[in-house]
Amino acid sequence: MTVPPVAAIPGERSRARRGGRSEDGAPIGSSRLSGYVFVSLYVVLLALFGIAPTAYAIYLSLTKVGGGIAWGSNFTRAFQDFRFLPAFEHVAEYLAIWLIAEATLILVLALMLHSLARRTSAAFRFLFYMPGALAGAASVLVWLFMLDPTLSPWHFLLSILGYAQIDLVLQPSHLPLIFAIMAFWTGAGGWIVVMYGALNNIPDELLEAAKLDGANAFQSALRIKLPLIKKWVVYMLILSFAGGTQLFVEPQLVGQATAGLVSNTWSPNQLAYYIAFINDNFNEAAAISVTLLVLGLVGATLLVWRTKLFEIN
Amino acid sequence: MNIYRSSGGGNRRTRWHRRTLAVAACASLVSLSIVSAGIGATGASAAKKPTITIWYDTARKSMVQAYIKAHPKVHVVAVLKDGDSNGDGTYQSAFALDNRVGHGWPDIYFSEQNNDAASLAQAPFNDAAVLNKGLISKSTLAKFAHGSAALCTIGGKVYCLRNDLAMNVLWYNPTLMAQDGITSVPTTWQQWATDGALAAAKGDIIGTQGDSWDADTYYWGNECPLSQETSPGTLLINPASTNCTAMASLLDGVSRTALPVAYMFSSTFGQQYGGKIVFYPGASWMGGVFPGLGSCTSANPDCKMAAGYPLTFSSSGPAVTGAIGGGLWFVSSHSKNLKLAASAVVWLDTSLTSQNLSPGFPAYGPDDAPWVATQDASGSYATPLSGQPTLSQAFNKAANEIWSGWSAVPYANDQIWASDVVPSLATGGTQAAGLGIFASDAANLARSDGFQVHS
Repeated sequence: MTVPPVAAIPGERSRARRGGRSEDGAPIGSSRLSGYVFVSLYVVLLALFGIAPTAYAIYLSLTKVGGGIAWGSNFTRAFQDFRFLPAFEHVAEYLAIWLIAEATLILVLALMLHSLARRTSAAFRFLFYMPGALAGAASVLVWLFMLDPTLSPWHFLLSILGYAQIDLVLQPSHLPLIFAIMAFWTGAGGWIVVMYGALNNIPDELLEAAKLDGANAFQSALRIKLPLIKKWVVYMLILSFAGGTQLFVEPQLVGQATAGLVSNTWSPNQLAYYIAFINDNFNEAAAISVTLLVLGLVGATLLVWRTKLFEIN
Repeated sequence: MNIYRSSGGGNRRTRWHRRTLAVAACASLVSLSIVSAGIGATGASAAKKPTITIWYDTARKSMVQAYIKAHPKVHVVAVLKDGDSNGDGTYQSAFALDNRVGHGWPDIYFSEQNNDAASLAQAPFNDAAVLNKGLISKSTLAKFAHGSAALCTIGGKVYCLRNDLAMNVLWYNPTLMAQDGITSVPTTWQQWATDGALAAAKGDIIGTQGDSWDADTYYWGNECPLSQETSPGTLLINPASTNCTAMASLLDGVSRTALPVAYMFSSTFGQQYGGKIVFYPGASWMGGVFPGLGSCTSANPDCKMAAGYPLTFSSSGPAVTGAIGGGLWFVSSHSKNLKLAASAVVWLDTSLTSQNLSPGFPAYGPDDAPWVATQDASGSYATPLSGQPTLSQAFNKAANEIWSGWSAVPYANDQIWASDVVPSLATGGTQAAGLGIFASDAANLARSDGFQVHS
């Protein structure tokens, strides 16, 4: 059986017609040049708003406020800050809930969508994607209404759980779960659509062959579909992990909207913001940012390495 | 079959290739020009009239509008901010950036955060200008209420002007008192707590707890040393002081029906408690808030309060009170027109036209009587009970009783109380436990700000 390449998988590239002509007849050399021009657009923005700020943050983290090399002292001071560990603990709890929810619920929903008829599936995809159309700050405001027992359309549910007012809902121990729900609500729809797209790249012949061999829907999902979209799942987890460690908008806005019920140093990114702008110490704040960067890179490297994400089949 | 090859595809390919390149190049140029425009834009425009930039909060909007109207020869750039409320650091973040880039400061600004002088006048921000060394005359400064400059003064230099004093008084509702069977206005915290049982029996309240103002109301109001700078750089935080523990114990003894965990500016406070407030130990500016709660109106006697003297802890206890907010006017030391900026602050803070639009009791003494007369005429306040002080008497006495042992520090005490203590109180935790949580977190913050902390 011939299996066409799952071309959209990250890390893979089309090997067809190398050195020949593209599908529309343009010479590959011309396509390559056009490709470079298109990529240059991204590269310029990446350099200005990605690489340059990162380099500046690294420079700041290694220098003193008044100038001169600080080596590791900004990092030492940041690590010794009494808010540093709690902030990382909060985000670790949040990430644990969020990433597990992503890796399970999103896949289950995507697999369910994939097994539905196309028209039904399209309607559900649209429904799932809708919350993602709200910008981060707007979704936080929506959730503030949803979580306030005196305003929420779900007040009866909150009442059953024993929450009569918002300060009971926003207890410190509830915050990681609440922020994870907010993130899932806004982000899951987009990833469900992406996973659905990845599942659609699996050749029908393969699934039919599995069916003929006696695989039921569950076995087909577990043994055929999931392994084939594994790289997409890893890609999602890498991006979510990096984004999740930088949690800022949700705790900051909820704190401001509730007269300070959530600490303004709840997450590491908030702590960095506080140290930069309230204490006017950009160097120590940069040390926290660089720590977050390193964590993101280590997490991504581990996942890429363990799952061979960039390996070309 | 490839349709391009069969119909003179060479030219098409060339056109395709050129179009693609042109689109990509244009897109790149557009992105570059957007980026460069953002970096290069200055927005500067030459103004013929002298210009000042004012950062103000919502409550000061009408005052700033009055200034603009009264000064047609001054070009005013008025920028609405949040007044740095709840210590969210709006001004600190702005100045941190302005100081780095060397522009962007306002000429004058209003802060709701009464610890902002301690933060903005000193390193690392160094923004607030010294006002008592030539910018504002001594005769003007002398007319401000005694002690009102305490939060603005560091090492003998005055860095801000108090807009209003925001001292705490005991607000009472004569109509509800009669309905609840309370025969006299309490003078001590103990009497107030006892009356709580009578109020609770009728579903009324005698105040609130569990908002960011607990410390300002109950602990500042009983000389509890939770933020006392005993010498420059040394801070006393002692939750074990009897002044603290006695107040915590008293509050813990009041039923949650009479003293609920609630926040006056939450979306549901008016709906829940509007027209049910018998007493409320709180700031002078709150008198105008009660008639606007929920379905309350100024005509509803259940919603109108009169001001009594601040409560004392016992009949022989010290007559002191706390303050909530109050508002500070600053002149930025980076202003290019310091004289104009200072004169604007003086006008906003002292002219009756401006102060009559302010919700709080003016810190500038000569404005007090006319301001109180305006308030009395507004119909928003209840007529005092027989033998009780007038609005003016209650405010003037309270203004002189603000305990000076509650020092302004660079961090926001109310933020700590809100994020660290309120969640505990909301789940049934005690004020006594809350004191310990607050003291521990405040001490950590104080140390990180360079204070020596002792208890």
